[in-house]
Amino acid sequence: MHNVRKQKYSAEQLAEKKQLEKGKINAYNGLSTQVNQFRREGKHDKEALDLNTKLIKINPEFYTMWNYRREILKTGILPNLEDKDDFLDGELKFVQECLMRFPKTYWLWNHRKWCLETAAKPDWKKELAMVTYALAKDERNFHAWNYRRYVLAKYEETLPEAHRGAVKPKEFEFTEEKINKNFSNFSAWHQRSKVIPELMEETRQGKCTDEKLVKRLSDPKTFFGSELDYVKNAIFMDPNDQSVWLYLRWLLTKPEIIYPDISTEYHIEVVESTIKEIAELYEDEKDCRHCIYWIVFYTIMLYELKKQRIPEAVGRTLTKHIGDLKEKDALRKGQYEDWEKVVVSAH
Amino acid sequence: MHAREALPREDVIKFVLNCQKPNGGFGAAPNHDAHITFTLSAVQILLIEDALDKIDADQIADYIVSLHNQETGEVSGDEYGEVDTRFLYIALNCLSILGKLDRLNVEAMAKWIAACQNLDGGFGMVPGAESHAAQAFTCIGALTIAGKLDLIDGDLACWWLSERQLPEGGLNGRPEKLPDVCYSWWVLSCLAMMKKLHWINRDKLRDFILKAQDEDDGGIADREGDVADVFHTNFGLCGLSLLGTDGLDQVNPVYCLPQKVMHRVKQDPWNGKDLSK
Ligand SMILES: [Zn+2]
Repeated sequence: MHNVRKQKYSAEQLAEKKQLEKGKINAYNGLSTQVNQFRREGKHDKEALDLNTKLIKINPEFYTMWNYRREILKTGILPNLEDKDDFLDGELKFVQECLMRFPKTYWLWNHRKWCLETAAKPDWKKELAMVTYALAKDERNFHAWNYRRYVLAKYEETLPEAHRGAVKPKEFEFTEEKINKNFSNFSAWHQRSKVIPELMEETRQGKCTDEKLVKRLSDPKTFFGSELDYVKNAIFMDPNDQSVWLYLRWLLTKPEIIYPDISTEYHIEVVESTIKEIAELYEDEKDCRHCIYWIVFYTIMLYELKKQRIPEAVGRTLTKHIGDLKEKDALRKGQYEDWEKVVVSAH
Repeated sequence: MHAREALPREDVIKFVLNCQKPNGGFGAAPNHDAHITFTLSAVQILLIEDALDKIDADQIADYIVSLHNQETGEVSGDEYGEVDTRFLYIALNCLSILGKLDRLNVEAMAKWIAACQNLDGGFGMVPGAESHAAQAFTCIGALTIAGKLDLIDGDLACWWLSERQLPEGGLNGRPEKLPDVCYSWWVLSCLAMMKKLHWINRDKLRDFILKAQDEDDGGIADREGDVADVFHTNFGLCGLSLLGTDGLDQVNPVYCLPQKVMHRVKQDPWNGKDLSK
């Protein structure tokens, strides 16, 4: 079981524990027999709902119970209510409570979506605030980030056409806010890499309504440059963090996403200056394996862009760097040996 | 582990068949609703027991196809369910076992999965979602069955996978998380499918898995000193098998099935060959 430490028990303690567990299991089995019985009978009233709640609180992984719960709500509860949304709001609170105890249970997030999609007027703005709050408490909560993308799409969909163009720019700013707080927040860099292409598309189609951002995005070369500066600055602050290197890699291997008309000459120029900058950084950060790794990576890429063979002198330097990597990062030695073969055969 | 007889064959088959629902899908247990996850489990168990003749392949295919969007390629877990790369993998896996891949829009599925690859090389649950090692398994596995590995950046994916190894030898599910035995499967199987097992240190990983074994009850935990469970015991053993360990049967990295029963898979893209070598 994930993160459950094993404990040593005496025979006496073990017997006591077994007895206690047996009691719990009996109670649970009794409960689940009763609920299953209700379901077979097609019971969809308040009594069925209460018992279902009791069972779910103990075991939210029993996915069939979530199905049953929705059946009860759809046929026995919601049709008799005047204010469905008020009831579903309570349901959201119930899910929230369960999430506090079982944050990794998929069925809980699914049920949350069902509640909102079933409501007459779901409050997506409030839901977005809920996720923002969850991310303020835990900036790497992966379920919350994924859920955020879903909520954002729903929120945008329900806005009047004229306001939709403001959602993505706000999200772009949100990623910046998170990154500025902590450069190592990979989730935020990831989100940024997803929002930018969407923003570019909206700008092209004239949908984006944030004037300042439209101005920035309409000049792809400058925007590309500013993204490069932004991430390089972060790399210089902490070259031992992988998040920033990955974002830089994304910019340099797929520049056309931001800068569709980029010329090969300019691409080469940018890669060349990046290699120089990393080499300078490496002078001060001799222990940083990432610096060497990316010098080798971008150098190989540079000669591919130039459509040239790697000159012998460069090849020798790369081989030396790869040798360093094999030592500094021995776990992944096999990977570097494969690389060595590429470099050797290329010159 | 050469111990199939440890579980009574007839009882196992009877239990599995009792879990089938009128819609053709299987639930986790007789009182549970049908779900695509358990439908694959049922088919896998019956395959291992050489009892696939006990089920109606067309009926199961109908159930899976009912969860499949022929246009977008998406697959949901059940009628309420979310779309998730896990379910695309399951659909491809299950129907290739039954020899009915032509009932799926494999082309669209492969495209949808390729769109789940992120800037770090890893894969998310849906396009846009963050990378997680378990999703790498479902995506790379699905693309292997679909014969579409060329749609992704394989080297970057393997780079990300190899970065999952930590100094103590174990693998984690994403950056800055603790190592965990189950990733010996999710990560290692991918490296095997991409023929890059040598990109990590296998000896250190083997030690990490072995240390997680409980000396009293024999099970394997997520890491040394934790409570063992069936889940981690299975993936620990499968990891050891991929690493090559005496006394263990070869496991197939795409299907997580013993290599010796792979000939029962009707549309195995590798024709029963062990391609991890
Ligand atoms: Zn685990």
